[in-house]
Amino acid sequence: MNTLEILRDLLVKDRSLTREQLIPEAELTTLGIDSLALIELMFQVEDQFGIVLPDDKVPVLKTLGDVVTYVDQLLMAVPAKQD
Amino acid sequence: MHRVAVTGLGVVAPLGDNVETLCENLSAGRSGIGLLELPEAQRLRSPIGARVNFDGASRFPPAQLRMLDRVSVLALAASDQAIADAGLDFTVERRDRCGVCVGTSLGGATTTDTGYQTAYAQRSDRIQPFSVLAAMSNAPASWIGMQHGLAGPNLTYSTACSSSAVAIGEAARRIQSGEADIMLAGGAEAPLTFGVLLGWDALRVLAVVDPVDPSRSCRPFSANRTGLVLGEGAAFLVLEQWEHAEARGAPVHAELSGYGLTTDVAHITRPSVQGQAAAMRAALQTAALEPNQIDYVNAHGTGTPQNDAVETAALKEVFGPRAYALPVSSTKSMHGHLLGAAGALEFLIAICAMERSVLPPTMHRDVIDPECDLDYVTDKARPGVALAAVMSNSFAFGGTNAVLIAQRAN
Repeated sequence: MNTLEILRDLLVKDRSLTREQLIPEAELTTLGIDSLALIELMFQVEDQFGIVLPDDKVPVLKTLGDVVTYVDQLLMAVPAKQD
Repeated sequence: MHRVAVTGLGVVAPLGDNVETLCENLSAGRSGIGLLELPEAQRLRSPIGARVNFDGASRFPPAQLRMLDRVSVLALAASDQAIADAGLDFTVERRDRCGVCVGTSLGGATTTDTGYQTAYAQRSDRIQPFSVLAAMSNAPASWIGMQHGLAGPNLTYSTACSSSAVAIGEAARRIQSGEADIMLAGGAEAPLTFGVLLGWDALRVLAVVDPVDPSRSCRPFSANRTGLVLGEGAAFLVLEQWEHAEARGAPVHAELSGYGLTTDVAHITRPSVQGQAAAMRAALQTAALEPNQIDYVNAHGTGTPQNDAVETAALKEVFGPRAYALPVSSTKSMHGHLLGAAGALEFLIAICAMERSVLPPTMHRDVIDPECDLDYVTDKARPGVALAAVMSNSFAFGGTNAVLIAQRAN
C-alpha cells in the first residue's frame, strides 16, 4: 500500500473524512487538519511506518500531497525503528 | 450589588446523567457506589468507587475525544445540560459578558496516569501528543468556553474538596459586581484511575469495603463509618444576573444569596470547628439570613471519623439549640465523594430538594454515634417539607472552607 492510501486509512478512521475528499490536492485546512491535528497525524505516521521523525520541526505542509511527499522523503532517509 | 439567579442545572454523576434521574435515585436512597472493575483492583485496599454511566464516544467524534480527558468529557456534558435547561441562546447574548468558573481538584488525572504508565511501566517514550492539553487543570473550563464562544472570565479553581463550591461562589461575585451577565459555574472530577486510588488508599481515608454489600460502604455520621468513597462526575449551574434572567423570561430555580469562604491554617488535613463555623456564618451574613432561616443543610459529610464529628460540632456552634431540629444530610452516602466536583453536585442537590420539597436522606447510618446527634434524615427521604433557604457545606484538605446558600426564587 502506498503512503497516500495509508494516510487515507488513518484520516477516514479518525476524522470522519471520506476517501473522495482525500485527494493529493486537498488543502489540510479545508480538511480540518490544523497544526495540532498535524502533530497527531505525524505521531500516527511514526507508529504506522515504524519510523522516528527527525527532531527538526515539521516543514510547512499545505496539502495532503505535501504530507505524502514529506513522509516518503523520510521513509527514504530515516531507517526503520529496530524492535 | 446584583442578585444572582440560578437559571440552569446540569449533572452527569453517579446515580444519574440528568437532574431528574439523579433526584429520583437520591429520593429512593439508592447507592451509586460499587466494586471497581480495574485490572489492578486487587492491589487496592478499598477497590470501590462511584462511577458515572457515561461514554464520551457516544457524544464526541474520535478526533475531539482524543483531546479530552474524561474530566472534560463529563464537564462538557453537564454544562450543555445546564445551558439547555436555562434556555440560553448565546447568539443573542453579549458573549464578552458571559464566563465560566470550574472547580476541579485533580484535572485530567486519567491522562496523567496513562502517560506515566507509558513512560515508567511500559518504558516507552510514546506519550500521546495531546497529553499536556488533556491533563491541564483548566482544560474543562477552556473547552466549555470555546464550545459556546464565551469570552468573559474563564477561571479554574483548585482547592481540593471545596473547588467547585469556590468556583460557584466566585462566579456569583462576578455577577453581583456587574462584571458578567451569565456565568457557567460548577465542577468536574474523574479520579477513578489506579494511580489516584492508590494515593488515596495510602492516606488511609478510604472506606473499608462492606463485606456483604459494597454499595453500603460509605456511612456518614454513623458510629461505624470508616472513610470516604471516591466518585466521578460533573455538575454545573447557570448563574445569571437577576434582571437579565427576568428580561428574557428565564425560569429561575433559586436565588444564590450566600457564599462564605474561610481558611483553616492549622493543619493540611485536620478540619477545624472554628473554620467551618466561620464559613457558615459568613455565608449567612452575605445572604442576610439568621441561622433559624436555614431549612436544610447538605453536609460535607464525607464519612471519615474526623470530618463528621467536627462538622456536627460546627453546625451546633452556628445554629445553637436549633441545630437539633435542622435537617442535615450527607448525600455522599449514595453518590460518593466527587472531590473537586462535590460542592457543585451537592449545591445542585440542595436546590433540587428545595424545588421538590423533598429532603434527600443520609443512607447507611447503621449505628448511632453520640458525637453525631443531629437530625441526619436517616435512611429515608423526607417528602412534603417546604424549604425557603438551603445551605451546602464544602470543606477541603488544605483548609479552604466554602459554604453556599440558595433561597427559593421569589
